[in-house]
Amino acid sequence: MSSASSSAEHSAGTNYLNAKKGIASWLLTVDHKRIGIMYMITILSFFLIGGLFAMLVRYELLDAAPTLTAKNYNKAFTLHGAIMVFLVLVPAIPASIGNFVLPLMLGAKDVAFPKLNLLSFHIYILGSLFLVYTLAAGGVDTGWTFYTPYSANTDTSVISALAGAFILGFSSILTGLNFIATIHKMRAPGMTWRKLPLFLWAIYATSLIQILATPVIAVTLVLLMVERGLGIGIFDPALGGDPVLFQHFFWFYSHPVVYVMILPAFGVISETITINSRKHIFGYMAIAASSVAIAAVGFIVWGHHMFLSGQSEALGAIFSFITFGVAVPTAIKVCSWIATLYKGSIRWNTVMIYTIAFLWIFSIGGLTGLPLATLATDVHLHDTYFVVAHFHYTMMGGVLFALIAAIHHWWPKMTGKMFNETAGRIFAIFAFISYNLTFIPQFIAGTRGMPRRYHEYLPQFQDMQFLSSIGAFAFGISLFCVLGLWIHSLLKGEKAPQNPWGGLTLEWATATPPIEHNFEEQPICTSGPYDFPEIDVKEPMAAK
Amino acid sequence: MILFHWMFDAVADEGYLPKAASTLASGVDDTFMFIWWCCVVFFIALMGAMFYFVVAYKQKDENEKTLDLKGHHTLELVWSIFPSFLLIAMFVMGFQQYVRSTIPPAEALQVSVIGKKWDWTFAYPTLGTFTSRDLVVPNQEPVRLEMISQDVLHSFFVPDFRMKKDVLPNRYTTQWFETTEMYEPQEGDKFYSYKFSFPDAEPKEGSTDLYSSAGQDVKEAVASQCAKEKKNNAALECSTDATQIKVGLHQVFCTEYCGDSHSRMLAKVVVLSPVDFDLWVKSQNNFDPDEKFKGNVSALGEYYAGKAGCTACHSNDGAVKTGPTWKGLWDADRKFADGSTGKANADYIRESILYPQAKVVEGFPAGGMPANLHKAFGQGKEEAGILAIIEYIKTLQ
Amino acid sequence: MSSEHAHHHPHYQAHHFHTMEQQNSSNKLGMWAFLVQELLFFSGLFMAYIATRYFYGETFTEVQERNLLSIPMGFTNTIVLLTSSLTMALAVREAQLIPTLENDESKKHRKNMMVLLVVTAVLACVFLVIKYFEYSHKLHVGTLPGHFYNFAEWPVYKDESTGRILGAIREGGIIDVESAPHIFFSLYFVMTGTHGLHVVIGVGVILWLALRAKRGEFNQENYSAVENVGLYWHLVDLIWIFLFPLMYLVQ
Repeated sequence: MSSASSSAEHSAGTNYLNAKKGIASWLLTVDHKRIGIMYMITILSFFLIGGLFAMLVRYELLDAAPTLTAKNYNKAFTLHGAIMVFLVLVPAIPASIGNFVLPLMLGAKDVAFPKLNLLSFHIYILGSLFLVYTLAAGGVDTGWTFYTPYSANTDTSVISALAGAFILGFSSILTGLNFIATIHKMRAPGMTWRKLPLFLWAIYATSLIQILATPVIAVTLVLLMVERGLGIGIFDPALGGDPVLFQHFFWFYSHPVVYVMILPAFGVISETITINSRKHIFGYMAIAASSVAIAAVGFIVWGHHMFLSGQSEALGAIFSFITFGVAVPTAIKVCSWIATLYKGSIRWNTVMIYTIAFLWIFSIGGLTGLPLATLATDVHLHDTYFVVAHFHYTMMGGVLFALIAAIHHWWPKMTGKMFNETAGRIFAIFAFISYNLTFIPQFIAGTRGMPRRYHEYLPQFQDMQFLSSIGAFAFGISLFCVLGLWIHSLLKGEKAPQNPWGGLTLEWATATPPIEHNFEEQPICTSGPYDFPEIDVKEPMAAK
Repeated sequence: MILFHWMFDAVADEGYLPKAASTLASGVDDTFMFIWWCCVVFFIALMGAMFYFVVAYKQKDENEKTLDLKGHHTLELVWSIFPSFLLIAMFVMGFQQYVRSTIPPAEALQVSVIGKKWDWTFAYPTLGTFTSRDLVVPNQEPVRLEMISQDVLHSFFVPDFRMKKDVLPNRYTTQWFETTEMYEPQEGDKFYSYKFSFPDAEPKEGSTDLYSSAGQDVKEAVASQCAKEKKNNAALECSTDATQIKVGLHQVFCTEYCGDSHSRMLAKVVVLSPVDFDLWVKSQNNFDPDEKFKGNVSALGEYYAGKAGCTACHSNDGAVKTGPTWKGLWDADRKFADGSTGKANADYIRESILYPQAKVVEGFPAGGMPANLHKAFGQGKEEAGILAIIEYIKTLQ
Repeated sequence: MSSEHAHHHPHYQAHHFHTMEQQNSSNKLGMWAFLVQELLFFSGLFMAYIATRYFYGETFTEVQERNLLSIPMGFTNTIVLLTSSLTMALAVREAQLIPTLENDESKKHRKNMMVLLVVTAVLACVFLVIKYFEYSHKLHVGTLPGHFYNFAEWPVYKDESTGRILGAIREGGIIDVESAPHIFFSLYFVMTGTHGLHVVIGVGVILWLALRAKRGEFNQENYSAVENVGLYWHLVDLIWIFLFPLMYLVQ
């Protein structure tokens, strides 16, 4: 993209990782890179815990007969969902990768509000402590959706879980706020909006959703806490309230939040697919504009979670129609990415395998949303395993494979080390196959009528559930393999060159790993982020 | 790959969708198949292009130049607009079918559906004051369900009818269906019977089949009513032999998470020929438990235990459900949550029914048992019902 | 652009910004984003209000008829907050007039700013005191949220065994399920309470600004903190301006 000198002035080996030492220098840092790393470690740890609950659920569902007590199973799936949604998927890419990469990609020294960034992290930790407390207090069994009146009356530790989610929301809001200000005000000279890397467009759209939608879930959780504590009577019909009102409040946030999860993933894919095909992105404006369009339209489709809730049929029809509207920008992206591959120079490396896997997985996820958006078929499929498979394909498969791609892609930049490509490729394929084995049978079970959140089930669903559980265990193993790959790289990986993939965005124009304040000199943006054929890639960083 | 084979075989045998048993189901299935084929075509096209490009344009040299293609207006318009037409078609099909499902015919039979943690009760207000644990309906006649919950959200789902709607505690929700034919249960079909524990084990030696009661109660009721009526009207076409009576059976699931025994909140739709249905209704209206179980108080107790919903939480065979099992309960020592102890005698059982929160057994949730279950025995019959339950429990040693 | 290390940064300019202009405009954008978020939060509460009013409209008018909310107190609070917004705006104006070099003029404007900030905080405390009187009166008569509601003159029926509240009890023992004063007062306390919490936080932040002013901070190049707190305060005022008629003046 442009110019900057290499880290000649600083002593060799001084970078953000070793510049300051000690736990306090990490926990009290305002360096966005260190904050991003801390987020990444914490998020992956919670992913492990949420994954263990998933394994518990899949173990129970291996056969039709119960193994756990009903209450414990209900707690297991609730905690799996709550941890995965609130502690993992929402911050996954923006807080970890976003924090690390965003200022570097912009050519800035840090985010607009570094101290606020640190506060966001500590708020995240505080919120997570509430959820840890909930675990210790015996868990919660309401489902991550907390529908009333069950959630207003069950005797499990609901308020602490709600409080945790409430606090986590603020972390999300402050991060979004920070990113918006940074992208608006701290771009390198010459970086117009049309030269902004697509990852940043994605983060920008995500941040808009974060600040607009998260306060609504905050209010919802507060009202539910007060409902439980004081019996105010807004959601619980026994006190004069309306349970469908809760659903409206809840989904007004919880639908946009899935776009908070997936838009950054889309951004990652735009980066990895161009670098590893060494080709300009196809349809830059379409992809940028569609990110914002998805963010906007995502706010007016929440009722598609509630077609059968007893809300009016006319309202259902409106939500159904608009939901199809959100499919169009998404389809544009997928088609544009695939078109980017045409006559490219495609590397078959680990990052690309995860990228291709993402395209497969997200296509299935997106396409299976269509029968759910359609009123008549949703009547049959709502609240069955079809929905479970659909959202795992979009939310979990999409976000996770993009996150893993992102971690592999920026791994050299973050750690200064390379990882073993051969092992990386093998594990990627293993993860991809086992992932599909886990969730495709669930589509079939759901179409045949198996409801979700079932602790025991009728024997006719046994074969599909058995396959799914085997797939899940295999998938879990594959993820441990990936973790092993990363640990091996940290301990024994080769030193990384400054720009191992030949990228043109600004983060590749500085030291690997970066120095504390990112750039020796303010870089200037002269060309676009994907101008591959136009530049001699051997020397991308001609000093200007 | 063997696993994938197994999966494809399973799908080929049974198909994706359950048997279509209602008049609305075929419309839903047509919409589903339309969407399915659109998705398959698009998926193959996209993934085909993707894999082809990945292979055909695999990198040969790190420095090779690539095509400078930043966009293509025509292509972008095509892939934005063409799918939009298909999406509109999907919406329209879905909307049309959905509207059909929301407008019940005026002449539909009204059935009230009452959901509570964790069972379903069905009432037929236009036909009598009786209630039923199975949703018994006449074949090829429209039925309208008026549904209400007595506690939390539930949802009434019959996969074979492609029918589902949430059941709310603060207002009625409605859905309707009309069956097309009577699907007899196949070998190996399992249906939940409210009398027995959930099939969490193979049927025990010598026990009656835990799985498919196959509408047995309904068949017997129809047969005995037919026997009564044939006395006065020999020409009546019905069968006095319960094994000859044809029923269609369809599974009902609760599909909105409602707590501990959500997965056990099941029921059956029992489809009868219209003649048999009339006989069944008469038998229910004439049903007098005191008469039927004359002299057999424990059988009356067993009947009441099903009617009042006790069996949703208390098993009769030692299985631990939401509440303690009744097997071996009589005269056993009990330890309660507050540390006190007692014996499970008649006073204790009566108190538990009338004041469920008074003595909660250690290890079971407080507030688990709802109050006022004895009202299900019928007005004026509460005490008799309690005594019958006690006698029934005594038989479960 | 040349190397950063040679650049002169005023001590109040953060290291990651190039110019004060960049810092100030970033701060302002950040604050607007925060306020948008706050607005969404309160909109959620206003949605709850609309839903409750839709289901229990009669209850709202009955609260008016029974004079259960003191309009004089609410009105006074409105005037108090509006005045505090004025003093806050004047404080921002004073901050804009402080020259960057220390002289008599800077001391004068800074002192004016401090005084105005303190007056704003005091007015906010007056608001809170009046609110305190309102709340304690309600505690005394029993017009409290949800389960705690026990106002003798407008009783509700509570089923002790199940905990269900069915509605208000009218003459003759009839239960009016359309009447739900316990829900109205829940809404009242949650909405005014949340607003009050924001006032309390505002007082703290404004006093902190005054303290920083005392230490000699702020001048016409560096007053974004004052300006942004001012924006926050105006939002708090604006929310009250909606809350007051919706709660107190319902017909």
